[in-house]
Amino acid sequence: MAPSLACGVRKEDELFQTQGLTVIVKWLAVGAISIDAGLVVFILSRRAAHNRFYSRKDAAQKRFTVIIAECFAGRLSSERATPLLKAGGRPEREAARTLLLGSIRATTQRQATDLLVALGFVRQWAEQAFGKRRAQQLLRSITQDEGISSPPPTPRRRQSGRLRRWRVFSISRAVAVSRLGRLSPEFSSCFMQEALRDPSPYVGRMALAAIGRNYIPNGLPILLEELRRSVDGETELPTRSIQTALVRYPVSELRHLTPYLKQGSPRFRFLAVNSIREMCAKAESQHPGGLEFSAELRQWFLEEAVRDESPDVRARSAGVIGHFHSPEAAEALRLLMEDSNEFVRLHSVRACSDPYYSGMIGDTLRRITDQRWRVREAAVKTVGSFQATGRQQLEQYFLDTTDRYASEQIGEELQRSGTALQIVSALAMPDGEGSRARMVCCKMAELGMVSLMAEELASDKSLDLRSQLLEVLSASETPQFLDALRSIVAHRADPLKIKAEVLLRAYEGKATDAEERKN
Amino acid sequence: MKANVFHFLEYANVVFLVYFLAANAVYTLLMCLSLYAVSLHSKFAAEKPYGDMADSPITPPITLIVPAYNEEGAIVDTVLSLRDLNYPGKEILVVDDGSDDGTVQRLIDRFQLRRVDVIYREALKTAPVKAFYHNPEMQELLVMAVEHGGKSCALNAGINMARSPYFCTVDADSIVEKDALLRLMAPVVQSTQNTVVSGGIVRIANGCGVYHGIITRIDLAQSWLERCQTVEYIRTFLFGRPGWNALNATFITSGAFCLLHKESVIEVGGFSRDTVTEDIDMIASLRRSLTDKKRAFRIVFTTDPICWTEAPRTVKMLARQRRRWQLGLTQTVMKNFDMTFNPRFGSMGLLSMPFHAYLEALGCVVEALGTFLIPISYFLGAMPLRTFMLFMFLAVGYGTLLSMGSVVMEELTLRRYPTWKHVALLLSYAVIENLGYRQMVTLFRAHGVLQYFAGRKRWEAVQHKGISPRTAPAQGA
Repeated sequence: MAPSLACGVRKEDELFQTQGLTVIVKWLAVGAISIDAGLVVFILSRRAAHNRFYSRKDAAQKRFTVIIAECFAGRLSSERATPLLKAGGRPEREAARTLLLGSIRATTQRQATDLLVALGFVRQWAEQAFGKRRAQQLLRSITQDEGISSPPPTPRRRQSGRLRRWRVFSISRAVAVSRLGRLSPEFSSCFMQEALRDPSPYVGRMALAAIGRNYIPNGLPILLEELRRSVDGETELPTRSIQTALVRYPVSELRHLTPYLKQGSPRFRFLAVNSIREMCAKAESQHPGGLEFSAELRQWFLEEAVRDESPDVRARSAGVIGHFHSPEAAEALRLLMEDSNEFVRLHSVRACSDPYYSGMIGDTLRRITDQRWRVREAAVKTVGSFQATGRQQLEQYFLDTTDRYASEQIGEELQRSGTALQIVSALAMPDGEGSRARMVCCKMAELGMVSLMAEELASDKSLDLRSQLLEVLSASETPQFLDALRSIVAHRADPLKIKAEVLLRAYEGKATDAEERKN
Repeated sequence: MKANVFHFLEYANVVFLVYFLAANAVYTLLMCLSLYAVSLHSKFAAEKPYGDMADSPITPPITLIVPAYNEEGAIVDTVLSLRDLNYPGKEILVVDDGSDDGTVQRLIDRFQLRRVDVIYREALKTAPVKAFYHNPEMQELLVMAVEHGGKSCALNAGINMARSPYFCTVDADSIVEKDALLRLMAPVVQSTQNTVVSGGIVRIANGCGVYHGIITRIDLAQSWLERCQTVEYIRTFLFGRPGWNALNATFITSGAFCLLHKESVIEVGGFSRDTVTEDIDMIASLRRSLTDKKRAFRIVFTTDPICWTEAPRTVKMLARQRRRWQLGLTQTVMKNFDMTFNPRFGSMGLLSMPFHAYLEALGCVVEALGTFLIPISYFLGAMPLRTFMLFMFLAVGYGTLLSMGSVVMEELTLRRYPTWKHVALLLSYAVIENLGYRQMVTLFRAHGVLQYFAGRKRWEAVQHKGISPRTAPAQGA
């Protein structure tokens, strides 16, 4: 219908066929629609195949769970379990692999590894990761307990190394290394050391994670060497991945670290010290007070680290020295607290938040007037961490100081930690506690930190407490206080209504006067 | 006169076809690149040691900044989802951007927050701060209310309060998957270069079940509009952005879920108010600043950290959203037009910027004109029926191909939609969205470009109702 209404009568040939447009469009449309149809078929068939695969895998997993449990319990030998787990096709094989890798714990690692070896998985992954010949050499060296040397770099090897770095070629090796890394240390140790020589960082990262996870014997020196290479730009392995592996080692392994602390660049020392600090913090959180350090390590930290040229090293050392719990350590922390670098002071103040250093509260309090806010904040938090004693000292300091920054910092901490609420509640108490609370509240009101008190004033707390608050806040003309007054006035039965009305009228009168004067 | 009109239409149709071929050739290349990148990543991601990262003190702490404007329906679920994230050191900072609904009150009620006065250090200029809310029993959460100044202002206020070296922007109507933050941080931890931006995928949560900030049931929404958006999101996030990431030319990461390096962001002056899409603008600013300073950096996009968000439910809201996105994109490419074809910015300057400037930002005007003029050519008799139909088949067929390609990618990698029904619906909507929805969105986008040339700078707010009615997880789930 529409073309008949057309105002022009031009033939298709003139317009389009001469330009070949129609032909192009036709073939493109046919091509696109055919590919669409192909994609629909692909998606549906893949989903169907996927469902079939997983139903077989699920069924196999149900059967194999019992077999593996029996094997781990020692009621079934691995020789008898192997043929049972080997039966079936790809879904069954994948079920066995998933179950065995998933069930690896410290107690079952050896048995799971034996089964994975017997089922041929270890050889398969080793071949994927290192190539057929090298995998054979490595497996032989593990099973026959032989030493193995790494092949020298040749021009051909270097060339293939460049290709092997490509992501597309390295992912399957990385996946294989990740699986090998879960085997018992006799196997994984050798494989992971080999994997660290791989030119691809994807593979190297998997090896690092496995070394850390398995506490592979002699892993620490290997990791430290990698850390040094990373700092010197000799490897593409990121320092954070190496540190993540390092800090998984227990503190008892720290003795391996001491020789490395005396060498290397300042950045290397910083990363090593930082790793030690994190290892100590983790161990302390798991077994408080149970840390033991070698004399050599203590000596290095107390004599060398505190005077290191790098402020990063000095700063992170404070975190380690804090765990020493000795008079020498306290002295070293005092020295670091006076350091010219902000971050050294910050870390040393933080390191004092340990009950052992309760005698250093005075030193920490002095840092509340530090010119850097981060240090002030850390000092307030550290003093606050000493429970009742710390809180008392903090309150006293808050009342005594004339430094506005220090006062604000303490005011913030009192609110954030919930102490301010306790102080407000104590307002209604008789004698000393009540009057001290009143002084703290007055100081907070002076600083304009009235929100919490204004909220309490407008709440349904005891009349006594609210009257006290009204008095404390009466000098404050903050919007929060005025809002609280309005809310009291709006409440018909509130006993504070009259007082609030008077105050509100006075403030509003003052405001009107000020506006008139302005006009 | 008639002859002139015919000549015009004839040449216009040739231009449309050339544009269509050029654009789709680029899209096809991107799809192939993405297929390669996404499949490799998903193969590797299954083995990545995320558990080690979760336990490690070396994993950097992070501040989650949630700017919220009138989000009373969704904000509690968003905070709950962030609270339960599997991440070693995180801080949640909700910045209420002067909402006039009950956004702050909902948070106060749910998390028993008290108003407090804390120190605010203004490293970046923002709108005045009205109040802070905190619960000492829940140290990781802080809510701050600022005067309405727009999303950029709210984000900058959040950056001023953030204590961590990295922060992650999260939209207030979003649910983040439990491991998503670890996955977003993985490229930062596993890189030797300073990774300044790490972006993740945003999926549509309409139709899904949400309970206490956790997605309990993945499903597709009921309405055609939301389903079309679901397919569109899969296409955008699975085949556009991974392709650019593979070329190291990421230009867009969604601010709904994006991790940034705080110091670098402060160096460029924080989120700018020059554009209405502050997330896109930030990427361009960071690239410019770090390239100028000759610093090594990375901007990455990863396909497995997933954040679920609420999509507009009505055409009116969709129009507002798309106009804003297009306006923001156009503002950003125009602001940074000197980066286009500039080799100093590497593949970003040579490939990504020209693509976003000519095809994504301005190209939609050509597309919109084509949407009108091709049917007009046919009705006026300037185009024979056969050619017209072929044009239509080509447009729908190719559009479907791109959408199907992304459904294939979803099926090969993430497979978030579990049943046959979902697959069938996604495939159907890969076709259906080309029969009206795409053309409608093209018109909204073209309107956004016109708004740019008309000098509009204001943000159009999209109202959200909350993702879904609360759905308790099934027994044993």
